[in-house]
Amino acid sequence: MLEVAGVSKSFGALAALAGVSFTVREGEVFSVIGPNGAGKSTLFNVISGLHAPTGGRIVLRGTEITGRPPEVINRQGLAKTFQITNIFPGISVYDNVRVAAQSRTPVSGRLPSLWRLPDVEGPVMELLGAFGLTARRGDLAQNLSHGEQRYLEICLALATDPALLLLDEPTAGMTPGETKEATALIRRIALDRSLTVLLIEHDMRVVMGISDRIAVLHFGEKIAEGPPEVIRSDPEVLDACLGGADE
Amino acid sequence: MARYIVGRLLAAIPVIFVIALTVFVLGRLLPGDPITFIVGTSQATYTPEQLAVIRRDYGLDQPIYVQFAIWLGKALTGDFGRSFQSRQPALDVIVPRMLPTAQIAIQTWIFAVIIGIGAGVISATAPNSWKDWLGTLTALFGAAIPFFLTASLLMFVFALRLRWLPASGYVPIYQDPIASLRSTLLPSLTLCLGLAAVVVGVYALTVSYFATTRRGIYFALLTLIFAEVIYTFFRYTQTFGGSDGIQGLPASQLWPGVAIDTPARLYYLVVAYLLLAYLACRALVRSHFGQVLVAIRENEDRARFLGYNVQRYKMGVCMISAILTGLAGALYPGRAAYATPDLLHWSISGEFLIMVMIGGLGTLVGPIIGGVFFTVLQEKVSSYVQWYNIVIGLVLVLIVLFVPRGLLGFRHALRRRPGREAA
Repeated sequence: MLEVAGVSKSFGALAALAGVSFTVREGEVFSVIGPNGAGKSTLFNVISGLHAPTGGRIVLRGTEITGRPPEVINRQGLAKTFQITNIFPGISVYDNVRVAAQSRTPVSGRLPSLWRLPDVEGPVMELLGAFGLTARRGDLAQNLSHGEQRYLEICLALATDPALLLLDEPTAGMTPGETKEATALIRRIALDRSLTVLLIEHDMRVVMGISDRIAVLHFGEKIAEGPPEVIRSDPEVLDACLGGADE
Repeated sequence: MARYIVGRLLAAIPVIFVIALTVFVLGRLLPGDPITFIVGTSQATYTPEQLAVIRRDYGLDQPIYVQFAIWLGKALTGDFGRSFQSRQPALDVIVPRMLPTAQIAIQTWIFAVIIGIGAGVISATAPNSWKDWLGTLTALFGAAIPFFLTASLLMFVFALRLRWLPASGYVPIYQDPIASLRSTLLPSLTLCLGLAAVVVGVYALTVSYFATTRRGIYFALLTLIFAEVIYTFFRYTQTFGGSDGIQGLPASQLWPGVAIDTPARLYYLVVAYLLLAYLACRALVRSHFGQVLVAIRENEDRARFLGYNVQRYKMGVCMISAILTGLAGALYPGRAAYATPDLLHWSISGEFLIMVMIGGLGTLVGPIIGGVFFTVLQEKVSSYVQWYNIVIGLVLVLIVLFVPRGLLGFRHALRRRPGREAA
């Protein structure tokens, strides 16, 4: 599904990523963990096209996407959510998801889009229903609660009908109750839509509960990779990650 | 192959017959008597008996199907009758025009093939790219702009101003091929491109391509800088009259013969254009394209990660607004028979921005209200005092301070109950 091979990224003298490699298999939930500043978000930004990597290759479903812009990578079947909520605040919840879903209609980007409005009501309502946002569809997105906004952002990503979903700390800022609910929901939707999920997460309980495999980043390098049980007992990981991160 | 050609030729017979019949019947269905063409407007000086004789001479007293049969029979034997206008045999009028017509048609075809296939290949190799859009838009405008308009523009630029090509006349191709090409180049070009919109379109595309790589204030500054460059070019070169601009422009014509030459006509034309532009903008905002623009305004990065090429949408809306304002500019000579480079100065763009701000950003009605308010204010105040710009400036400051959403927002502010503001 996704192959990351020796990817490096430097900002000036700072090497945020140094030769990171891993492969995400189809249908699995793959998580990347690590302490703050380990390069997790940089890794996501490089994969999703916000930054071009300084070195290495990224292959998505057999197509090389290294250094392509986000809008192109998104159309190759990769959607992402952001660590800091990133939605369209000033328009309604329904319009948020609608504009996302419309990017996959045939008319999009063609001349008739100047006077036509494709009908995507079915998929939009289905998504809003799955995330419990149906009753709030008429509200401005900025008036939603934090948890609802996080869900809305996942709706936006899913509306582009991706094969691979990148979630950057989806439960950031949620209460423990919300976190548990969100984790279960993400797991279920990934199964329903046979999605592959690449997850960045800080909260170890979330990661251990949801992931098929885990990679650990530390100072821009991958120090471990394996199923949750193995990672949990890896002494290097415990030292680097679990020791320092849970402030 | 031979069978195909014979088949096509045979198929042409019924087509020609139907065309001939249609033209013939249409000619008779039109209001007015053919007699008028023959005797001219001095019809009243003829007695009814004389008119009846003329009618019989021309066979106009027969039923229409008999007339058609007579005409068809003569046409088949090579007798096309006489031209009403010149009284010469029709063939003598048609034949000399056939060579230029054929030459222009063939040249048009060659230009169209070169440009069309070239643009098509470029478009096809990069679908959905700006090149594709340029090709599509060029074709659309080439098709949309009336030929007489393009023809006048091309004649104005290349024949009257630059004097590169002759404005009229025809040199047969067998006398001097080069001169012949020159004499037929303009009509050929006119027929295969709508140059005016292409000029505006290419300019808007160039500007928007560079400007849309920047955001917010830098974008606005870049468009103003481009305006300054164009202003300076027309101001300090003589091709278009330098600082005096183009003087003595004839009034625009809605279609040949219908000039917009009185203030009332201009007024109704402007109102009609405003209505059309408003409806077009409203349809645009409600379209998929418009919804994506709203999303981009709300959150540009999110739109990119949903697969929208933000730069292309910005360029698109830039070009649409350029075309709308370009068309509005075409109405200008109706108000004043000149166009000076001052109209290109960026301060004019600034006035538009002020109008939008007065009326209310992000609305369609707002700019109309703002435009009326600004223009009336300017006219009224300047008729009392010389320093009217100070008054206008103060009004603007008050508007920005107290109704930041513009005059349209003022309405909402009045309707809203006190205390709800905080929520």
